[in-house]
Amino acid sequence: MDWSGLFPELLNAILGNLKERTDHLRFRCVCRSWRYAAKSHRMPPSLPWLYLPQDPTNSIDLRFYSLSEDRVYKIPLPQVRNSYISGSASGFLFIIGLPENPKLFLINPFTGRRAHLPYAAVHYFSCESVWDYSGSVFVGSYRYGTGVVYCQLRKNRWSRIKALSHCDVKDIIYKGGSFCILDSKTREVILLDGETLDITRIIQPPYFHYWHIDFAMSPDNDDIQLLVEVPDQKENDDGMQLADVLVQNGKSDYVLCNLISQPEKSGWSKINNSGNIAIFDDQCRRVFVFETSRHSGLRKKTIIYPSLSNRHTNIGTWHIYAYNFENLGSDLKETTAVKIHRLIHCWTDLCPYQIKEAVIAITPPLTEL
Amino acid sequence: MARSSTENMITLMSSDGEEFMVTEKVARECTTIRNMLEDDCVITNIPLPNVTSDILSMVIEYCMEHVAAAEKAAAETAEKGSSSAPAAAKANKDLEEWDKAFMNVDVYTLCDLILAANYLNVSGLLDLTIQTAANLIKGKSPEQIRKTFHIQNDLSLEEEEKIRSQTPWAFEKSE
Repeated sequence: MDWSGLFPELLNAILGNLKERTDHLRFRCVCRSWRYAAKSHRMPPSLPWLYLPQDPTNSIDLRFYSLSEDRVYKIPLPQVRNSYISGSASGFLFIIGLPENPKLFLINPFTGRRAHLPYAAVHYFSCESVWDYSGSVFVGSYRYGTGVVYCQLRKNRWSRIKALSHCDVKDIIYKGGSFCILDSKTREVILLDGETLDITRIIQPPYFHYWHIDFAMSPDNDDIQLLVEVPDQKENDDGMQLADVLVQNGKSDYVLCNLISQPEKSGWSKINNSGNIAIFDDQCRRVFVFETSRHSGLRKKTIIYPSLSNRHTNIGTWHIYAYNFENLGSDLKETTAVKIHRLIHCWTDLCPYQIKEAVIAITPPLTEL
Repeated sequence: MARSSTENMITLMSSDGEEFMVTEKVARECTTIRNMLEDDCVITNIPLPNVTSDILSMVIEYCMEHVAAAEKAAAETAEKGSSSAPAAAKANKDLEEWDKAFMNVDVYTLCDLILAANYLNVSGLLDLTIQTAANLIKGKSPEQIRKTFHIQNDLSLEEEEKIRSQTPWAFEKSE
């Protein structure tokens, strides 16, 4: 018996041990029987990739760094030329054209799928904007304190959500049929119906004293989750014991909260999963939470974040990107930086439009494949 | 046959007619054989028409090693009253090392071992061989996978082009 004749269930078992979606894509291309076996297999959940800034000598390729594979992928996207990227959400990148090239669109770099937005708002959006996209509706906030705008793609025009005109939007995500708006002034989460954009619920924050609050993106589940960093104290204002804090670094606790789904009980509940999570923070706007048991090569109680440093030499400035792993399990803060060596430096002088925030966006790859 | 204090021996017969005498305990590592023994406890001679002698000897070697490791752990627990965690961890590590060395085989043998482990239902060996195969695939291009496993590409040029064109970046050489 040879390998192409292996029973489908055995090929499926092999696929089950391949944790990278890219390995699945290549597996499908080996021969007919492997392709057939892979058809019925679900793609594994994937860690986010780090988007690396454009190489000025090659403005066609977008480069992504896959941490778990330690590999840089180049995806040719000529449409993105003369534009910059304002973060990623729902597998899409938000592309803003430069002044000489006014256009706004979303693109899934992995499938090439695009959604064009009316470019009237091109001068208002920037790298500081937050947004998400449901597949038919785009909801965004230009920047802090400017309220919320939306665009239903079939109507092709921008409108304001009047009820939220004074909202200081920290983050927006689309999940479970709703757009969720995190207001950093009132600390409330406002839920909008995904179609009508009417306010359906306003939910009070789970903690009143916190240092940091963010939506937690988690490809592992469909719940709306918040990641809250609260000062390290035994009891909180709302009387909840933090006995089951997820991670602890001696200074603060990270608590993952899940939105309770019954409308009459609006609120948050703590998730107790014994700290078996790794937090992926792109230092820009997205926080991802992963259950370490479901991904290879992730240590629990770890915060992973990319960083950018500059090295000045007599021929120019190198941008050096690195992944940092901070272990929160021990009192001693240990940081391990993994440098991403290859093809990641670029000359500042040649990149007049490089915007620091935009280069460190993370996108969950291959959501549609 | 009455159970004696000495262990029952079972004869396993490979597809090419070779006979292997193993203890019942070792044979029971194969769920397929365990089920046969439970259905009919007097059985002492089991023909295995799907497994060659080369592969069967390897499967038996694997089962013997794992039975011995389990017995050793049980004996230590009985002696000290409780098993010490560091000793158990070391024993586990040793067994893992043994498994790793055991998997140092060519891809044809690996394929036969997967089939035998599947047929005889030796879950530990099946997991080990499947994981080994997955490790050989990780990070490789389709060409490299075909070369590694000696697989003929039976996709037509058009088919292959179609698959690749959906995500061409996934097929680029890694730098």
